Order: sequence, then C-alpha cells, then structure tokens
Amino acid sequence: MINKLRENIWTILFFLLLTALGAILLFIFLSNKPTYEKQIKIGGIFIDSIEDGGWSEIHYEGLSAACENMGLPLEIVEHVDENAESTAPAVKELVEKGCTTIFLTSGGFGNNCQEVLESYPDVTFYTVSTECDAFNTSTYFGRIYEMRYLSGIIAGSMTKTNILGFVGGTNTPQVDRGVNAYYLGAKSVNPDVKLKVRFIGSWSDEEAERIAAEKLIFEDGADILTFHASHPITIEVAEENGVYSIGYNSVKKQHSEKFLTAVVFEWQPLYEGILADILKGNINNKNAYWWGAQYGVVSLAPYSSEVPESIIPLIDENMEKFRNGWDVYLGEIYRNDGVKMCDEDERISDDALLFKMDWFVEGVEVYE
Amino acid sequence: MNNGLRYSNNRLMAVLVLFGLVMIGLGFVISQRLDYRINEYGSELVQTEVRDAGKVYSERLMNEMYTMQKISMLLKDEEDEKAEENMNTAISIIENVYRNEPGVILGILAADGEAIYGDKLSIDDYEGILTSLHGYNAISYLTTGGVLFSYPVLHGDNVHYVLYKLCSSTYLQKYYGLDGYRRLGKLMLMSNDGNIVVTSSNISTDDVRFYNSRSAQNVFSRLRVRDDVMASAVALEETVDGEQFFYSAEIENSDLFMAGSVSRSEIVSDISFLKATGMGVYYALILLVMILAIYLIIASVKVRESEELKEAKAVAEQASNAKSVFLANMSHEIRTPINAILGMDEMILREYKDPSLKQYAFNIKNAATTLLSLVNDVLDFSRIEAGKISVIPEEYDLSLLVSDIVFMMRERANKKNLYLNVSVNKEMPAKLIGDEKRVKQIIINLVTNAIKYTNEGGTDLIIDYEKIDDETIYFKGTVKDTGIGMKPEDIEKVFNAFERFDEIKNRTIEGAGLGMSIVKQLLNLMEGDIDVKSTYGVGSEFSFRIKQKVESFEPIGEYEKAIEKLIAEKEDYLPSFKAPDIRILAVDDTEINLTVLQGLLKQTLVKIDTCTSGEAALEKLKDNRYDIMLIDHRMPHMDGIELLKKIRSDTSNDNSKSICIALTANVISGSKEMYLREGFNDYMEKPVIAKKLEDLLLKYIPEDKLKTDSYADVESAEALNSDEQAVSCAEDVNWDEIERLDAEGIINIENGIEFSGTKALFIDTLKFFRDSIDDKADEIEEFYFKDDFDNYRTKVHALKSSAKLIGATKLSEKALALEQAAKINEIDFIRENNYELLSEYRSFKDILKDV
Repeated sequence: MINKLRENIWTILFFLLLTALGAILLFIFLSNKPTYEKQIKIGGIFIDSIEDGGWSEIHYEGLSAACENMGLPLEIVEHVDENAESTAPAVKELVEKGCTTIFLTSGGFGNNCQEVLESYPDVTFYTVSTECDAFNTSTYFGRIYEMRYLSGIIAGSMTKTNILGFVGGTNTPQVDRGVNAYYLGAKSVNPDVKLKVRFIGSWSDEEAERIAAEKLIFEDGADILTFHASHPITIEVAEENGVYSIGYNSVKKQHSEKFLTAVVFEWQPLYEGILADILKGNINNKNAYWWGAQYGVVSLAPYSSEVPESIIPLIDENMEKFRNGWDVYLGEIYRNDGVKMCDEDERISDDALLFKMDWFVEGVEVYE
Repeated sequence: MNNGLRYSNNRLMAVLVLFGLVMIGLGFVISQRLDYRINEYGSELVQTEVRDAGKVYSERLMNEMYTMQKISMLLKDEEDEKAEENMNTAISIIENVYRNEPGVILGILAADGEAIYGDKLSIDDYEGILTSLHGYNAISYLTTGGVLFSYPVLHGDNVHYVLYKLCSSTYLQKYYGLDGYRRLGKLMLMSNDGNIVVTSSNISTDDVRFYNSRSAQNVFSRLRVRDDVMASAVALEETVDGEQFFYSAEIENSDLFMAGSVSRSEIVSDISFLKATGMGVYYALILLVMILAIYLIIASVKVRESEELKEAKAVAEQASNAKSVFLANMSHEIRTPINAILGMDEMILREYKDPSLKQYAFNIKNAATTLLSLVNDVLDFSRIEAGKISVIPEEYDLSLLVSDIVFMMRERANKKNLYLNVSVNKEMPAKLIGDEKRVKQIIINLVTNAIKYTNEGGTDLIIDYEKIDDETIYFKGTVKDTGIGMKPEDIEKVFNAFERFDEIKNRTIEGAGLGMSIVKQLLNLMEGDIDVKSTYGVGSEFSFRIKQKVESFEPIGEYEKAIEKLIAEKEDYLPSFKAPDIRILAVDDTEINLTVLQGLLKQTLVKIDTCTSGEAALEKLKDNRYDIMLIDHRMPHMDGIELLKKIRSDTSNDNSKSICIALTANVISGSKEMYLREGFNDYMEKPVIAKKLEDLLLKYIPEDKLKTDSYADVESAEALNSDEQAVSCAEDVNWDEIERLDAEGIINIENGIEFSGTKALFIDTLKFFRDSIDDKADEIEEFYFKDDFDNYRTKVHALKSSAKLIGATKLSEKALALEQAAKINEIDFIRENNYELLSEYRSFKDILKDV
C-alpha cells in the first residue's frame, strides 16, 4: 500500500495540482459573472384593454408613440385590476421580459401596490396615482384642472339657466380640483352661475352615471353637463336630451354640435418628457411629473360651432396665462362654507392641490 | 522504442503542449477576470466615494437654501399689517449681505410670479421658479451658466412668495469648489443637460472640451441611468489618457449632478499587486504541472521501454532455450549412434585377432572419435554462448595437465610427420588452482589448430609463468607453428565463430571452425587474454595468459620426471574390480547400447540383465533383485525418469532402494543436477567409457562383494608362499619340461627360484602365470584399445614383474620397454610393439602348457 503510494506519488501530485488549478479556474469563473449594461425597456400596465375607447386607449397611444419616437422597446399587460394581487404577476411578467421602467397607467395603482413595486428595487415605476410612497416609484399626471377652468369659461358664457351640471366619479382631490377649477372658470365670466355636482361613487358605474346625468338635467335644471369618470355616459345622456355637454379625457366619437368641447390629455408629450429624463439619467426625481398647459399635456378639443367666437380670445388669453405660470388657484378663494382657503396674494401649493383638496369653492352644490 | 510508443509519446507531448497553450490562454482570461475584479473593486470604491461626495455636496448647496429659509422666516408668520415692514427688512438684509457679491442676484416674487424685489424671472427660462410657485424649493440650472436656488415662502398650504437666488458659476466655483475630493480625480458639477457648472481646479480647458464631447456625455448619461437607485454610478472607460473610471452622483432635489473621471491606476494601484501575485501563483502552478507531466511521461516511457526490453529478453531467452533444447536433442541424436559405433568397434577390436580387420576397426574408432570431438566443440561453443559454462577452480597438477596434452597431441603430430616440442619452465609451480579442464581445452585447441594448419616442420608448446603475488601467477602459454600463417587482415577474424580462412585451400582441413572461438571465449571467461603473431606462409604464434592461483610454489622441474613421479605415486591405485555377486539391470531402447554395456562389463564378472523398455524392466524387477540399475533417459512410452519414479514408489519391492544410474546423451549443463533431483543416485554420459563406468560402479559396490585380485599378481604369487600349498602344487609338476624350457632360454629356473623363494613356489608361480595369461592379455589389450595408457602401463608393468618372476627375461624386457613408452606417452611405440608383446605373452600359454 505504502509502496504503491510511493510509486504513484508523482501521479498523485500531478492530479492534485491539476485539481488545484481547476479549482482556481472554477472559482474565478463562478465568482466573476460579468454584468451587462442594462438595456432600457419600457413596460406598460393597463386597467382595461388598450382599445377601450377611453382611458387606457389614450394612455397606450401616448406611451407607444413616445417609445417609438425615442426608439425604446415597449411591452404591455392589459386588464390588470388596481390591486396587489393582479399587479404582482403583471409586473413580474414585464420584468421577466426585461423591462427596466414600468408605467402604471391608472390612478388606482398606488400604495395598495407599494410592496409589489418595492420588491423590484432595480426597476423604476411611474404611476398615475398621487398616492404612492414606494421609493422607486414616481407620480405623473396632467394638470387637467387648467382645462377645466377654460371649459368653465365656455360653460359660464353659454349657460341660460346659470346652472351647470357635473357628474363626478369618486369624491377625490383629483375630481374636486376639476370641479373647483370648472366653477372658478365659469364664475370668472358669469358671477351668477351655479355648479351642481353629483357623485356616482365609482369610475365606471354606467347606470349610476346615467341616472346622475339625467337628475342634473331634469331635477337640477342644469343646461350644460360635464363629467369626470371612465366612460362618457354623461355625454350620451346630454346628447340624447339635446343638452350642451363638455367632454373629458378624450373624444372618441362624433357628437352633435351640442358637444361644445372636451378637456383632454395629450399623454405623448408627458411620456416623452419622462422618457427623455430616463435616457438622460434623471430618474430619481422626487417631485411628481404634474405637467400642464405649459408642456402641452392638457388641451381643449376643437370647439363646436355653438361656442361663440367672442369668447375664444378670452380662452386663448387664459391659456397663455397658464403657459406663463399663472394658476387657477391664485388669489382669494373661499370654500363653500365661507372659509378663506387662499389669500389675495397667495397661491395654493401643489401639495395642497394633490392631497388636500377635499373641499369645494363657494357656489358649488354637491349631491352625494 | 517502437513506432507505436514513439507515436503515443509524440501524441502525449502534443497534448501537453496543447494543455500548456490552453492554460496560458486561460491565464490571459484569468488575468482579464482579475482585472475585471480589480475594476469592480475600484468601481465600488469610486462609487462609494462619489456618492458620499454627492451627499456632502448636496448638503453644502443646501446652505444657500438655509439662507433663504432665514429670510423667509421674516416674511411669514406675521400679521398682515407688518407685511410691508417685514418685506423691507428682508430686502435690506439681502442688500447688506449680497451687495458686495457680484456673482449673486437675489429676488422676491409674488405668488403670481411678479417681482416684489429684484427681477421677474420668466418661468420658461427659469424652471425652478415654477417649481417653487407650486410649493417646492429647487436648485435648477440656467442655460446662461448660473444656478438658480428658489424657495417658496408658504403661508399654510399656500405659496405667498418665492425667494430666489441666482448664482453665477464663478460664485459657485468660489464657494462650492470641488477640490476637497482628492480620490475622485477630475470632478465636476454638471446639469441634467450635461452642462458643466463647476469644476475641480485640476480640470484644464482641454479636459472641459473632452467632457463636453459627445462620447463623454454619452458615458455620463448612461451612468445617470444607473445611478437612480444607488445614487451614484461608475464605469470604466478607455480614453486617450488610458483607462478611467467615469462616475456620476445625484445631488438631491436639483437639476445637477456630480460627475468626473479618475485614472484607473490611481485607484487600483494599492491592490494591483494582488493580481501580480495571483498570476504568479497561477503560472507557477502551470509550470509545476508541466514539469511533472513531462517527468511522468519520461518515466512512463522508461517503464514501457524496460517492459519492452524485458519482453525482448524473454523472447531472446526463449529462442536461446529453444536452441539449447535443439542442441540437446542433436547431441543425443548424434552421440547415440557414435556411442554405438565406438562400442561395436571396441567389440571388433577385442574379439577379432585379424590384424587388417583390427586396422579397419581402429580407423573407424579414430573417425568416430574425431566426430565426437566435433560434436563436443559445437556443444561447448553453444554452452559458452548460452552462458552455461562456469569456471570451477580446483587444485590440479601442471605435469599431469602437460602430459595429458602431450599424450593427446603427439600422436596427431606424428601422423602428419610433425614434431611437437613441449617445454615447461622448470621453475613453474607444479600445483595450481584453476579449471584444469578448461585450461587443457585452450591449449589443446591451440595445438590442434597449429597442427591442422602446419604441413611441414612442427609445433612448439612453451609453458611459462609470471608471478603476480604470493598466491597468484600468470599462466603463460605459447603455441608456435611453422604452418601456413595468416594474412594481417585475417588475424582479427581468427576468433570469429564458424570462420575459416582460405576455404578452398584449406578445404581438406577438418573442423567446424569453432576451436579458436572457444579459446577466445574461455579466455574471456577466465579473464585471460591472447595475442596472435603471424606471418603469411611462415607460421603463427598464439600467446595467451591467464591468472591461476598457486597451491604451492614447489617447482615442477623436468615435467617428464614429474609425470613419472606421479605415476609412481598412483601405482597402488586399484582401477578395476571383479564382483561376480553383483547383479546389474541395464535398460535402453537401443539394443546395441546394451550389447556395448555388456561387453564393457564382461570382465568385471558382474551379472547383467538387459531390457529394451521401461515396461520390460518393471516386469524383470518383480522377480529379481538388482544391486544397480543403469537406465537410459530417453526411451519411448516410458522414459528413464518415469521408470525411476515407478521403481522408487513401489516400496514393497526390494529394488525400490537399489542404486539407479542415469545414462544419457543429454550433456547440456545442469543435466546432472536434474537427474539427482529426480532421484537418481548418479549420472553417466554416453558414450560410456569403460574406465569411467567401472569407477562409477566401484563407488556403489559394497566392499565385501568386491574381489580385488586385479593386478597384484605378484602379491598373489607371494600369497602362495606357504609350504603346504607348495607341496601340494609340486606334486603334479612336470619339472623336465621346466628344465627343457630353461635350457631353451625361455625361462630361467635359477632366477625364478631366487625371486620366488622356493622351488615349489616357483612352480606355483609358473602355473599361475600360465593360467592367468588369457585374462591378463585381454586386459592389456582392452586398455590398449581404450587408449587407456595409464592402466595399460600398470598392466604392462605387472607383466614385466611377473615375467621376471618366472625368468622370462625377453618378455619382461619387452614389457618394460612398453611400460616406459606408456609412461612418456610414446603411443606410436606402443602401437608398433603392443601386438608383438601380446603375441609373445599369449604364446607362453602354449609354451607352458605341459608344466
């Protein structure tokens, strides 16, 4: 045994050395997986089909056009409910496809999904929700209230009954900002005008929306309707009853001339702005992308022939003011219970607008 | 090394070289990997460094915000009435503090963006103002080259004023320089859009141009994509100034980021030695592995070579064995018939008196002996070649050696009418230690050779010595002839086996051409040497020299006398015997051999039974008891060894313990041992020589069965010297006849009685002389035919004495002459006179028949 060992000592030594060499090689190769430069790939999560004729569709249009312009690949997942259970597999799917930046295109993807989002620290998320504290998530939205103000000027000028109707989805700052801006716009040209608001308690309860719209016409005497919900049922009701209406979000149908205009998002410039920042590396912005007329993210749909030529310059003038940093919520503003919310030489901060506007200005009547 | 091995070695070497190359290649990969690892380390180092630097710098920039925060304290939380007063205070403070600072412009804007103090800033050009109008403070870059710090003065949730501070890059350079970060090399403050705001002092305008280049900007924007989570990012890039770590770090709440680059070597110089060490170890390991591998390959080649050599050796040994077996067979096949020829010839010589027939028989004997010696030469040669001959040193008498040679060679020389002169240095020690047989063989071969190639003149054998020390001498022998000699070019070939010169000229010379080769090989074996001098046509001289030990330095003197002395010393020796009570069984498949045996042993009176097969022998053994069995080895069906085993194993038979002697023509070295191992008591070579056979038998015959009345005739005569016997014998004596013979001068009564003692004893002696003539004459004749001149001499000596006893002076003188001849090996004389002596001797039978 010993002799055999001695005879083969060189062979044994040789194989030992070979093993050592092999081990060194193995160690070096295993411990040095080179990392590759992350390729930017965009993901999109949509609450509905991207052909829903409403919210998801215009988001998709904006996002896909922006990606195309910037030369970035895009992956999407549709029909994702605004909760963690649905969001998690959707995010997972996109990350597995290599997405480094994911857009959550509905306001419901907020803190309810925080854990899901934070479990992907290397992925940057952008959500429409204003209420998301995930460290890797930024908020983006358009200052649609600016357009509400302008459409309010049209409505204030054209109302005969001095009663305007507003169908609200849920009673949230997002809707309330629009309501207040709409009324302030109308009031700026018509001091006697009143705004009646009916909430339906949901974004897409079509039946409740129809009832609310009809009540505004028949019970409240509103002669111009507008709304803030997923589907333009209010417009259908107004058209059916020959009442003036102002649309929201997008215009996907041909309407009658009673359809005066619509406040619409132009998502493409916003997406392009975000993507440009991503490409430049400016990703970790703490402030929300809350862009308005200045960036062309919100606008008014073409006016109907019913809109008097005389007020158009006024609208243009106000549009120009927005573009120069003017705001709806600047100067003296009283809550409908008489409390002064803003002083003459003051301006309501974005924080207050985004998170604290659960009140209505004087002259707005709300039916819960 | 065979081709296969060489091929596989080449392949192994090729594999090894390939392995080496692969490992070196891997070395480069490893080197790169290590570089990568080092770079990673460097990256991490830089990344941490720059992140910290970014944080620190962010906090430094926040100082500007604090200044504005201080001012804002004046503008808020006060009652409306004091607003104007507060505003004035703030303005005066601003003016006091920053009046002497040309790089800074401060201003206060109202909520609608209109200027209260300082300039109104357009939100299109000053993005930060809008941010602050929306309620957030901001640090934003201005395309004009400065940085705008803006700060909202909040009243509750509402923005009341916006304070701003416009800082030129000169101002920032002065108060927010980047020179505190030594390890970061060239450091800059850049805007989101890639504009350089502040640089560290080690950045030249060339550097600025470089950092503004498209490639550098691409690197920074790539870095900024990555720094979102870690707040900083690093990448190693190849530049004209060598490898550099490019890095970026965010500055919170601002349009700005920190960026720059630092040379790789500056960062990793500390740990680069690790790589050097690692690579050193790696290559050392490879080197070790290679060296070991080469060592192993060489070792394995050696092993394989030695294995091949072993195989080759085994094959060669097998071939040599086969040759030995073949030679053994041949020796058997050749020697057996020679044995028969010699034996039968001996019978003729003994039993037929016709002189011409005897001459023919004698010629046959000579030819057969020559043939036998040829066969022996071949056997010797092959034994030497096979290394089966060893030198066995024994004490021997030089004089005996010389006399043997002379005895053997003189006849040969005489036949060709050549002289053979032998001279031995008288001072030479007489008793030496060495292998007598081999020394004799050397000299005999040389002399035989000399005689062979000499046609006129003769041969001189000179034996001399040279003392080396007290124990050793050089035995020097020289054989000189007047023969045909050799050409110089042939001298070298003389010792080559089977080589003979002038084949055509010498074709009549017999021999296998092995004699000289055997001489040479024997000399090699005994560490001797040989020298050859030769002149073509004149003669040759062979001188050899071997070391011999000396038993005693007593000089030999005249070697002839030494021989005589020796013979005299041996006179008491009883070479022959008579044992009529002994029964011998001889087994041989060749009947003639049995006849020869019977003939040879006839006069010993032993009773011989013969069989021609092992089976027959066993049959005989059942009913008879034999003292000695002579068994031939090679027999069909049952060979000698099988037969022996059967005999030995049958312990119930008395014969199982009988003496068994192997007879064989198997004379290959080691045969004897083999036979003894198999159970034979002894072993005898064929052809059987009578004297040797007798000696052998004598060894095994118990003394009490021996009748030692061989040659001591005189003694027997003397033993009869008793009066009673004399009287009894004398009664029937024909005295007249004795007197008549005396008168004829054939015998001499007077001398006879004088030698015998009494008249009666003389008569007895006379009668005994007459009665023993047949036996004695036959004995003499037998020794004569056997060329056994030692015994012949003894017998003739005895005849001389006994003839003298009866007063047969002529006969006695003739016997004396022959005795003398035998003594000095004058064989020719014996051959000429033996017949005459014996005829005369035998004639006494007739002469004395009437006594």
